[in-house]
Amino acid sequence: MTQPEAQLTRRLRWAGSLISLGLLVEAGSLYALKALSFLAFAGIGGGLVAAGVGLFLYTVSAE
Amino acid sequence: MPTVEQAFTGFVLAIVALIVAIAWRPGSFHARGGKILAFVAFFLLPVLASVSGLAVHVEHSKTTEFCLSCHIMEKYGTSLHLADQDHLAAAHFQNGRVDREHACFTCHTTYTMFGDYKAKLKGLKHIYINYLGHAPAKIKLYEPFQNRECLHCHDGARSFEAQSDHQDIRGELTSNKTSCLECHSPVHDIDHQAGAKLWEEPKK
Repeated sequence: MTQPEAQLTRRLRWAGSLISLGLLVEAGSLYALKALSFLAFAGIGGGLVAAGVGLFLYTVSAE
Repeated sequence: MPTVEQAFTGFVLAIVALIVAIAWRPGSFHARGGKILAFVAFFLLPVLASVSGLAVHVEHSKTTEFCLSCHIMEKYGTSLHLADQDHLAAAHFQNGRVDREHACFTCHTTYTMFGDYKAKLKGLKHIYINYLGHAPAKIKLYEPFQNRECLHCHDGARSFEAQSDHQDIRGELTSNKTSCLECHSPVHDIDHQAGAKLWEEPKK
């Protein structure tokens, strides 16, 4: 694997991890009818998904 | 039949599986159609899932349990269970005049074209103030309670229309010149709850 390919793979894995973690937090937050769970959804889950998607778009555009 | 939360979880797990298959399988990104599949898995589906989750949370935020999850609202929740039926909110809650699971939202939304959205924006502000800002010791409505919210249900109802007291001031009620709450109070009595008898909700 060449260095650019290795970097691409590493970034994709980071993006995937962030998105997956964010989505799992979002899913977990739906099981509680509390204002705090909305904060977890928007603040933590949404933040992680946004970061992951952003990293993915950056990776693809830089490729 | 799965609940909406279970369906969402299943959707999320499917996305995670797709992400893992693409990111941890060497060469899949560069395979035929790999970039399009990656775009779907890393961008389209997560965005779709997040928007769907937000819609579910918006529905959750209409529930009484959600509103009463903030400490500052506890006394308002208790006021729904006061046994004295002279209390307007308690009478509505206990007699099923409002859906108990959506009691707060039923009366405190605005029955206008964008009323639900305005109510949601106010709700976001409340969450911000409660968790990140400084909540006042005593909370109050942003504006006087509008008869429009009462008439949304009571207008045309036999029990409401048949009352001569209502007929005498019908125009004033519609135009909001006379507030329903001038006669129908207290609404949420949060200052005299110590020792008050409470109604117990029958178990389903």
